[in-house]
Amino acid sequence: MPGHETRDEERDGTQIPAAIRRPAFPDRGGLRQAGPRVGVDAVTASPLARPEHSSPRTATPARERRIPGEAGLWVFILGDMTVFGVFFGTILVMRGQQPELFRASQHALHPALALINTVLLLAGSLLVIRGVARVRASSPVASHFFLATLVCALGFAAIKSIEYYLLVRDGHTPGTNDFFMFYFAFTGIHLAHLLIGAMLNAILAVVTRHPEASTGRIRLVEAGGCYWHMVDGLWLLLFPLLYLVR
Amino acid sequence: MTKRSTLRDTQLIVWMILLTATMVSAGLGFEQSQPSTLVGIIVIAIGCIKLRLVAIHFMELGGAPLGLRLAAEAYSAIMLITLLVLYFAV
Repeated sequence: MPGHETRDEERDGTQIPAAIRRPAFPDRGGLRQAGPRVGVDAVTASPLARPEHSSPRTATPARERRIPGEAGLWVFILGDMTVFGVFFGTILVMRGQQPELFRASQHALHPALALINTVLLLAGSLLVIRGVARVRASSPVASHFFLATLVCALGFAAIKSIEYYLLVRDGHTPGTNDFFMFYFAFTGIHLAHLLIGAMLNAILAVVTRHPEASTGRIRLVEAGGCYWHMVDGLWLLLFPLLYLVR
Repeated sequence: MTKRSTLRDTQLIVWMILLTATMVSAGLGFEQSQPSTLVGIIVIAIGCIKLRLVAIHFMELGGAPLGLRLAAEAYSAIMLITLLVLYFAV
């Protein structure tokens, strides 16, 4: 089947005769190409499949737009962020209804640990950005960046566990009051997202051990990176709402 | 300087802004001896701005098709307005 052969050859990185070439992703294949879309070289001419020192003949215009990762991923991300938006609103509604309970419970938290965790997530985001850039440039060290992000994720999980332990040791559990119920629920759901992000980074670290700047590889690391940035971005709002707004 | 190295430089600057904003927010929040409305507004606003910066620069939605970019901008703006309204009204 010609289409099947085409995909296999693209995966192997071998040259495909022009007569049977077609874009693997016709909806996006030519997004970054100059001039009218021509499907013939959509895959091989895409800058996604080239290191950044590609020839000027194939250089891309500055204003072309494309979806990072996969379109389906963004349905999930926007949906997930909407759910977290409800969580954020719930925290402030609870604060408004029970202000004294909110403030008293906040004092039992460990904001210094939360701040360290915020820095760990931000560090992870910078490492992911660097990792994605290395994959685009076919660099052999790309996987190191995803491995370092994995370490940041595990550090976050460890510190969060310590904070949970300290709270429970001091008698603050989800059943203590509304604040702690929401605190454990929302930070727990975020922690679950983070652990998924950790697994994704572990997968990316393994997958990117061998340099390859194919379209599929770049989409994969972009998708993993965007997921990580979502986890980071959600914490950037969860942290002030739980720890800083009095 | 190539387009991609310029992108990475921008992302590094945004990252430093995010780190600085986090420290400023934390400093303001930790130092409150009494609940402060002004600090509440500032940390909520900084949080929403940081979220937008992550979406536009780290997720690279600044270069995404207009619909997706607008969705990211709208999310940040709606969160900012909604959270400030809830902060004051409830």
